[in-house]
Amino acid sequence: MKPQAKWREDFPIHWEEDEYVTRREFTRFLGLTSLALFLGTVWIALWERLRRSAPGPARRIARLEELAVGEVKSFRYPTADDPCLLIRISPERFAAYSQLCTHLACPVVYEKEKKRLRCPCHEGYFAAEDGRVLAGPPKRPLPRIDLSIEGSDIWIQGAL
Amino acid sequence: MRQGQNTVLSAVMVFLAVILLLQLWLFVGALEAYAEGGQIGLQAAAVSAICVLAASWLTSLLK
Repeated sequence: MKPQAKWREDFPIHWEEDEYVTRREFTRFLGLTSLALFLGTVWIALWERLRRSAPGPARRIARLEELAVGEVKSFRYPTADDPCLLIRISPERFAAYSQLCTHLACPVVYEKEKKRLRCPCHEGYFAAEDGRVLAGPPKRPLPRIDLSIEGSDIWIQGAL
Repeated sequence: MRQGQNTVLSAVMVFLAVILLLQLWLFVGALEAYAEGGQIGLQAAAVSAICVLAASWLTSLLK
């Protein structure tokens, strides 16, 4: 131990010794980090399964006359944290998609003139017809929501 | 003898670092797939489980 100043004897804290970490201790810390990463991956896997095993209930989301051709209605489904878009593509055709881009979950917006959905964060584009990727970084199509028309009502069929 | 112990400890640390990098890659991949609506979490967790078993075995060598 190095000789200490007189005043240090009243406050006997030796920082070098206190903060010294042996290689064995550091290696054990690496082992714990490995365990933490494993638990994190398991947590993600559980969330994935939970999301797939709980499809939302059937629900009426709009009336036919609410939307003109090219108009969009936003709604949330299956939970309040899941924004979606209902688009009237033609007088007879409707389509609904999750509004979250499949790249990094930014909300997409509908471009009426080009009949496509655009993600403004990284310039990803999806076809309004079927949600397929047209351009940009997304690799997966937008999750499509099954619709049915009963009378003058548009219904979600309970699955993404 | 002492030199041999040092070598073993260094080797264990290097292997653990490689395992940790692999697990970090799996974790980030699973997180990105989750955000994209994919489903690779279970496979990533299985490989990560093998990694954590290997890491715990390596750590047990130090006792």
